[in-house]
Amino acid sequence: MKSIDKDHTGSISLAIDAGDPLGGVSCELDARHIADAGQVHVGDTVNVTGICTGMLTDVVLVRCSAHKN
Amino acid sequence: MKNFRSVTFSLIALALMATCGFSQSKYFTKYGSVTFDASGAMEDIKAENKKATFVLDATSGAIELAVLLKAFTFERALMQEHFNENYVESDKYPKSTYKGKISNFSEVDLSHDGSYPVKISGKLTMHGDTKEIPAKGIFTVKDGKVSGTASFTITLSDFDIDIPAVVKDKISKTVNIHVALWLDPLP
Repeated sequence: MKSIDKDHTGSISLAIDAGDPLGGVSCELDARHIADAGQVHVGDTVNVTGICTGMLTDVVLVRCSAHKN
Repeated sequence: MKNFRSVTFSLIALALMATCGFSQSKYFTKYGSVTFDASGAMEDIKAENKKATFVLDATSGAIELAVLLKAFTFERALMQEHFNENYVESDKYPKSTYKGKISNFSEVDLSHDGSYPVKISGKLTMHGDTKEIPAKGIFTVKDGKVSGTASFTITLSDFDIDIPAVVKDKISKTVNIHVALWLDPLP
């Protein structure tokens, strides 16, 4: 995992490294799984479950849950 | 004399770099918020997408916003399913973009704290159609951080989105869209 980002609306997204400096996988945690952000750390290998909505600069997943592999 | 010229040239170059060489040329976010309200007389229909990508070219005032339609979340899952399958057909048209320009960008100074109303002209592409949509917005600079909001209204029929007769009282023919952005300088 590359970073844990909190936006101005309070949403938390996990940025997953995909080996490309210009893009990766962005996973927005579901409101029911916000606490997952406290269980994982930058550098961890994580398992993420969510809904893939497509790709802009990143592949975008929403309504995610995450836990350390 | 040659040394004097060299020192003078260096000082002028340094002064130019100090005044214009370090100004930020692009601002960006991957976490923009786009909300819409298509509430009809009988039902609230609202959704939010917190994954909008936005780029501002601060040298020209050009802007570009992109959203994935499947990333709009509704309070009710069934409403979200209908939105994706019956109205915007997000499997066929997964992305919507707004490309435009801030016509009064010369009045915006992103290097100074303040609130700057802007007029935006641009084209919205959605559901396979592209239409000219003007918008009004405000850029705010506070403690050096740049944020912005904008609002505009679209008519669903302009984008070939049909409302079935059975739900025509529940869904508005026009949709109010609000955009909120918190921008970072693009490295």
